[in-house]
Amino acid sequence: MSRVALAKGHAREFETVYILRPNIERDKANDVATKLNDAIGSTEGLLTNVELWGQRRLAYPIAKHHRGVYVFVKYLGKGTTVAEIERQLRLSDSVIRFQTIQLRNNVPLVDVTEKADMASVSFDVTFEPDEPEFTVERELGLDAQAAERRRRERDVEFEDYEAMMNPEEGQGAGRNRQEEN
Amino acid sequence: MDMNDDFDRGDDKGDGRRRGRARICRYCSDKDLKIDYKDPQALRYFITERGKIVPRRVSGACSLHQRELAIAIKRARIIALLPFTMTD
Repeated sequence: MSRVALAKGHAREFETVYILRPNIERDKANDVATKLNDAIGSTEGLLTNVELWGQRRLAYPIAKHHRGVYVFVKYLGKGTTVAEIERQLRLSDSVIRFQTIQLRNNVPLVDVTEKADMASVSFDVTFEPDEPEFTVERELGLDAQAAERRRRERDVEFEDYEAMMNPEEGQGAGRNRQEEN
Repeated sequence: MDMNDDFDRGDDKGDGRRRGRARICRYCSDKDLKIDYKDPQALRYFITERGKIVPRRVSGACSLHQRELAIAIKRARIIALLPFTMTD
């Protein structure tokens, strides 16, 4: 992109997508949003669109998460705006990935009528918990959960065995039930 | 070869290579279609099962749109909308 200085009364248009941890709390998500809002405000930027895409499945795991909460932000500003926004995103522990893209250069600010408010996005939704992490132990049934499952199965088998050894008891119970009906 | 051939099917025994795909750029024939990294479903057509970017000679995209597609796919990969690789 061109490195030519911006003309007066003009700005560049950017959009940023950032991904929050799937188990994000509402307060923390709002915290990131307000920090971005302040970043845009303090660098004379103008927020034009905010969208919450919600929780999506990640194409590959990031920071051991398989899902993420996507937030999309579109704004006008200068390089300093982007620098401040990215600094805030980098500082936040709740954000696992972000990407900023320049859409247009030299946008006359008088032409811009869109305006958005960070507060319009409500994080007041409960997101599904993340999928359990893929581990070799779990795949092979060596973790605690699998051990518990195996133990239960073994108990069931043992009960079956007992029933097999005492057929009268089992059948008698069945017959009694039929008679009741 | 005429660049505007819509289809170039059949076996080309002359140079021993097969070409069996449509040779028309999707984004040229439909001007309303926009290449957008935020739309992974549309981009999936242009990646292989392994996640690689499909070459122009297969996808049929024109030079301009192939370049735009490559950028869009790479952007989509960064925000985990598309995979870098896929196994099995």
